[in-house]
Amino acid sequence: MLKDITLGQYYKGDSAVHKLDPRTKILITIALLVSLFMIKSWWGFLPVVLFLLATIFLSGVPFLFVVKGLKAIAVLVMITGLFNVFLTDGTVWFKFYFLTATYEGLSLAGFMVVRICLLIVVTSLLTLTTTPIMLTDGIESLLKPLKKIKVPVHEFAMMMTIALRFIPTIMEETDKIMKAQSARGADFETGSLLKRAKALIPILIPLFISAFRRADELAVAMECRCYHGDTNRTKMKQLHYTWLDCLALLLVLVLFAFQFIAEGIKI
Amino acid sequence: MIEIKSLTHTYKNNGVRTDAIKDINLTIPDGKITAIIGHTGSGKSTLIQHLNGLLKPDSGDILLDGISIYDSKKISMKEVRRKVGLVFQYPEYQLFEETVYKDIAFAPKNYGCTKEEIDERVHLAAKAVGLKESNLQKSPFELSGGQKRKAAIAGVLAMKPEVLVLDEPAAGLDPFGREKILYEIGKICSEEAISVVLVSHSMEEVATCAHKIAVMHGGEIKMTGSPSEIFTKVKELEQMRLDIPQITKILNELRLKGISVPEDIFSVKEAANWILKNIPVNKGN
Ligand SMILES: Nc1ncnc2c1ncn2[C@@H]1O[C@H](COP(=O)(O)OP(=O)(O)OP(=O)(O)O)[C@@H](O)[C@H]1O
Ligand SMILES: [Mg+2]
Repeated sequence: MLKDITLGQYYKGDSAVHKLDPRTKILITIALLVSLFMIKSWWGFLPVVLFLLATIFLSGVPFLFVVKGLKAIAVLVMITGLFNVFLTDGTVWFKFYFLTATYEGLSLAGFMVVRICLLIVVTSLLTLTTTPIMLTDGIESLLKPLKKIKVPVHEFAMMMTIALRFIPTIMEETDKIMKAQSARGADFETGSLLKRAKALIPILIPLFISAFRRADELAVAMECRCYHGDTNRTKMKQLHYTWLDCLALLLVLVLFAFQFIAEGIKI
Repeated sequence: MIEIKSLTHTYKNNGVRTDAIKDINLTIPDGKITAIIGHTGSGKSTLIQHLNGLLKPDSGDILLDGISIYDSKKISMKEVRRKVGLVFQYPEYQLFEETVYKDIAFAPKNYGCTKEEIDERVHLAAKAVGLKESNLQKSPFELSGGQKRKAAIAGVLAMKPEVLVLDEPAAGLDPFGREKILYEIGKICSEEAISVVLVSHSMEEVATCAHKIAVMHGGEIKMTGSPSEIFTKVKELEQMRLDIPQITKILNELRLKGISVPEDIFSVKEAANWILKNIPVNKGN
């Protein structure tokens, strides 16, 4: 039941996209996100869409798998769309009681929906092709300059790694505890809101206890291996830029050039 | 009595399919201990989670005293879960109340028992698993591992189930605690007239207490029978990565040496008695 969540999931693969340095991928993702917010005309989307389609094709992740992430936010997108259709001033399209839909609203709504969907696809492509560990390594490396002003970058990255590592474990455990309490006649599905909130206690307490126990064991295990934080720590997997990264960055620059031109086209 | 009829379950996770159990047919008789044995990943836990409806099968049926447990007109899922008490592997991780007493009372409370009834059931359940009265007012987290497990089993027993299903009840306990838990389970079966389903991956554990053994391998039931029937099939068992009890191995060695040992000796005690009686001891050299 809990395992159906796909957002932020990794799709195993061996493609060029998977092999890119995580730092490159993070930077490109940020650049794409910013550019998506700056696009003002429909034509501006075209280069991004083509670029994303090419990336999906290259990465070997099934197209449907990428799009499945959109399902989770379908309601949000729909509400945004409806608000835009009805709340924008302009030429009247039709009237529905006190609500007026406008042509301008329709076009704006379409624009918004496309933008949100593309934002989601861009970010899910990053997590689909990068393992959580690589992702945190990349973030740590990118934020390194902040160490100069005493920001504990390494510690934050380590915390993130551990949190990501334990999400599946804790979900599995939740599932198990829920089953065990249902076997004792616990009922999570019916009753008033208060009753249902109370029914969570038999799940949350064992879950917290086991999370604390795990944290404790992990801390001891880390200390036994002389973990001291950042100082003098080396990495088994070093991050290296390769020609692939240069190529990717170049491609993105070309993309932005095209986008700049496309933005200029007037319909 | 529980009848499992061609039960099949496939786990589906993001397109990955695992055939956990395939076409299982098994009858669990009343008032007896039925052991389900198989190595890691053979589908034991999956199978028993069907017995009280926690998992839904892809096909097949389970009859509880002749009524399908999926027939919501005749029996509610909640009632199925009461009649078939399921104790998970490492059940001590499900304890959550302030006191052991309250934790054991959780199930009867869910089933709407009165205060007096709950009190009576808690004390009976604690006694049945051999948990001391003085432990009832303690926090569950003050108990030892073995005591915690007993408390968790009592928490299921307090529902007064007709069938008690235990997933590896002795896992992770020391040899003494293991023997004690198995002894209490045997006692519960005979004294409370509850049928017991015992999941294990060790023959040694169930050899002496089970009346019926079902051997699972790769999601299927490969053989069923009484312990004496099962332990004669040493070759097949070893192919399924299962070990027969050590004492049975010793007796088999004796058989190889030409000594005709009866086929139905399984406990160390019986074997020792037979050897003392039938094999002459050379005193001196
Ligand atoms: N929630 C799940 N999702 C996907 N596959 C699962 C799940 N639970 C179990 N499996 C798979 O189903 C098969 C049977 O698992 P099961 O837990 O029933 O085995 P088991 O006999 O209880 O093993 P063990 O002795 O280790 O407890 C295994 O191959 C396992 O990987
Ligand atoms: Mg199991």
